Amino acid sequence: MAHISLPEGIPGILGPMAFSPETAKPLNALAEVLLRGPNTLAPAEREMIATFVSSENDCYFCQHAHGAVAAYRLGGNEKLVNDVKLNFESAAVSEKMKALLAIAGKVQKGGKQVTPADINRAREQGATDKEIHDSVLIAAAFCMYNRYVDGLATWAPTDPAMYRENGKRLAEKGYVEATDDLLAGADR
Amino acid sequence: MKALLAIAGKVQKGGKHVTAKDVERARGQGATDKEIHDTVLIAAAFCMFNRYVDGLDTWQPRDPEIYREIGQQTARLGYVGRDYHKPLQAIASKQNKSKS
Repeated sequence: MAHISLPEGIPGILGPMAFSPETAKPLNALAEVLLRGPNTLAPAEREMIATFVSSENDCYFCQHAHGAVAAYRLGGNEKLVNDVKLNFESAAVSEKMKALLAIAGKVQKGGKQVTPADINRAREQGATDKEIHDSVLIAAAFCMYNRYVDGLATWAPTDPAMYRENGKRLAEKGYVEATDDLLAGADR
Repeated sequence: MKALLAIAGKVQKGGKHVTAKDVERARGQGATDKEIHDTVLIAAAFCMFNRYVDGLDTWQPRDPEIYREIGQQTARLGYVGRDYHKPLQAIASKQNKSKS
């Protein structure tokens, strides 16, 4: 049971977002810019960073929700998403992505864990300042979202089909529209 | 506030650290659902802001006067309306003075 009275049957972060629409708005706007805004990193790559950090934070809802968006954008490649979570260094992602995931993993542990060597590795693989910035901020933001979701003990469904369906909707509609629809009951 | 700070401290360690007992303690002291919600989200948000600031190894002045200036301005104008140039100019003029 959640720590506070949240609307019944609304999973994960959507419960507290329905409870507190005024804070849901900037939270979704941030996710939209970070994960779907114009960027040299593909949306699937940014979703993988979000999924990896959520997995490191052991947030069931977030890692499955964003893992599903990443997999949908990768043509249903759930194996790759799992590989990244288990050990990104041996996963079939670019060397630049591995370097950015390494930075994200350090950010998850704490900002000060990121070393000049981590940054140099990313730069040597062609990462730009903006890509490094965005990786740090995505990782930091998921340290927020994950704590919001678990700190209130929200309900996380375990049915993979729900996450696949939700992943498709988030990939197609985006965080602002999909959430607005859901909270307005349009999809229910 | 003590009960809410205890919850915030748990959130900082990780969302799953918050127990039903922590929440009961806050409720016992009259905290509302909204107050508990906001406490969790403020703590979570600062786990983001802190990592953003330190993860990029940003410059952090050590002069307490700078923080007083920024604090007053933020209290007066809010986070969106505040103007970073003023405190930065104050730092610059201070540094110039100490040079001369």
